[in-house]
Parts: sequence; structure tokens; C-alpha cells
Amino acid sequence: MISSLVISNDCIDCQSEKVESSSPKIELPIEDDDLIQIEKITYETNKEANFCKRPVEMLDTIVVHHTAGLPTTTPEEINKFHTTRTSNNNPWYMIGYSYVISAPYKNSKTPESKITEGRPIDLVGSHAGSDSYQSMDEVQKKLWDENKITCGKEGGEFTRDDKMLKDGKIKTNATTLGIVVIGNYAPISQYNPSGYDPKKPRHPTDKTLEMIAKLSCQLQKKHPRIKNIKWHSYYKPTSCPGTIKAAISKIIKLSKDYGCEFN
Amino acid sequence: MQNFLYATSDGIKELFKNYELVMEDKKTKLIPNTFTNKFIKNNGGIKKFESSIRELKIKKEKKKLSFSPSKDSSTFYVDYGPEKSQESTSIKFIVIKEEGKLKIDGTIISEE
Repeated sequence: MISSLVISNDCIDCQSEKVESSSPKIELPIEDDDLIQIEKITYETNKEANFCKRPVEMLDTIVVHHTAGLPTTTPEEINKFHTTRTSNNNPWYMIGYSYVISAPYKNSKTPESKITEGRPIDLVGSHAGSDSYQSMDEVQKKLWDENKITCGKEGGEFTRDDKMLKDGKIKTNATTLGIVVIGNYAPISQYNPSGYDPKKPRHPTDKTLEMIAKLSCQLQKKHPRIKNIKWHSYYKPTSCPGTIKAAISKIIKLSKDYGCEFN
Repeated sequence: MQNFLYATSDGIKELFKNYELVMEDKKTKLIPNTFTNKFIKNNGGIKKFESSIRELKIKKEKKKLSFSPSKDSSTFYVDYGPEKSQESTSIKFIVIKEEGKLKIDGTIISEE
């Protein structure tokens, strides 16, 4: 009962280039107070896309997502999708999440557990929804008023984009960073064939929750203004992040063990 | 490029007709023609996947179907869902060629 077929080739001729790096994969050095290792990889960016820079002091919230896909999906595959897709004819510059967590399901050995850096946190991400806005605190307001959040294209001029604001509120993406857990934590449906069997709900493992807690805590230790851990459906109606949503309070409790305090 | 896309669009239409037969009419014999080996393996193998589909309750409704290719045209991102969906967050289907046939290789959440 398919009623129509639309082909979109907006991005076929998009120019792109790889962000230069001395090696394709490097592990960031672990500092003495680091709780968990983060792998850094090279992403291909979409030069036609706008993106925004921000001081990390804008950040106050971590938003948890799932990919709603196979557990074997790679950060590079997410980047390939995000640089191909468009949002209101506005293509994305690179992977929208700041961190990607690969972790096996319960009773599975693959993929290897690891955290990979996505979009650097001093760039505004694309993850919480372009139509979601948040109130700013005094620090965020000051940074905005001082034109510290600027948008543009690679190699071009960066200026303040007033479309970031609506009724005095700023886009949620500007004050948050996205952590995505690879895998599908929502039930199977006719539109979600890789979801779990409702008789056997799929929950994140303790190891996965520990990885999110350690990463969140590590981020708070480096950027103390990050005080909240939320989830995608907190901002808009979506099934994301599936059963991980119910585990957010456990992640917040776990982070206390590492000396962090989140709301 | 346009010829390539029109040829691909026929393939995508055919693939999602098969997908509907699998999901809605439980024609599970079509699973290997519809999904890649990787997809089936990652969903517990053919028997487990078949069993999940058989128990799935389906809403018959009009669907929309659209797709966009990756820059290297090796992957197609397919938007398949209810025609009148109000949700701005949806799951896209990742389609690739396996053994010369277009098949569903995965899914990924899409935020607008």
C-alpha cells in the first residue's frame, strides 16, 4: 500500500573533504583523572553545510540517544548518513552526536565496547531536534549577547545567526551535547524491524550504563557547568532512547560513585 | 545520474513491496530476498527473526516512500512510514546491494 515514491538527490553533488588527521584512528591520551578512554577518528565533512561554533561554557546538559539500528553500526556509518541527510534543506556538517558508545547487547560479545568522539563539543551538535528551544541562564545569555555563538561554512565567515533564538529561548542543540548508544532499544514494529521482541525487552547492560556514567562524569569534571543528564524524548515525542530512558536515574546514581552530581 | 536513480527507484519500490509482504502478510520466505545476511544475523538469525515477525501486530495503512542516496551512491536511505505521520523523528531504512540485489541492511534514527 505504498502511495508514492519521492527521490531526493539534494546531496549527490555535495563537495566534501576529510578532516585532516595524522592517522586515521588515534586514541586520545588518558589524563590522570580520566575515567574512560575515548577513541578519536577522522570524519568526512560536508563542506556545503552550515555549522555553528560555541564556547564549551554554553553546555549544561548531556542528552542520551540510541541509534535504533544494528549494534554493529559504526560511527563512520552514522557520519555517512548525517552528511547525506538534510533537515529543512539544511544538510548536516558531520555526525550530529558528540560521543558514540559501541556496546554489545546482553549475552553477546560483539561489538567491542568503546567510546568514539563524534562532533567536537565546541561545535553545536545536531541531535535534540531543530524545533526544540531552552531558556538560557545568565552565563549563556552573556555568551550569546557577546556573539560567541557563530555560524557559517568551512573556510567562510562566521556570524551570529538570530534563527538560533525563538521567544528569547535558544535551540536545545546549542546548550546540550548528544551521546548516542549504538543499538536498538525500542520494540520491533512494522517500521522498526531491528527492534527487540516485546516478550524479551532489550535493556542496556550494566557495562553500557557504566560507560555512559563514566563519560558523563569525565565531561563534568572538565566542564563543571554540565549539570544535567536528559534523554531525547525529554525534548520531543520520540521513542528514542527506548529502554535506556528508564535507566537514566541509575546512570545519575552511578556517576556519584565517580564523584559527580547530576540532575 | 537521473537514469541511475530511476532504475534504483524501481528496485526500492520492489524491495518495499516485498518488505510489506514479509511484515504484513507474514511471507517470511521472502526474508533472505529482503534483508542482508548481516541484518538477519544481528537479529538473532532467520528462525528468531521469523518468529518475531509472525507475532507482530500490523496496522494496514497508506505508506509514504522516499529515498536519498549517499554521496558515493553505495547506500540508500529510505523513508518508509505512515503517510500521515506527525512525528518529526523517524527510523530510516539503510539499503545496500548484496549479491546484486537491493536489500535492507539496517535502520537508523533520523532527527529533523
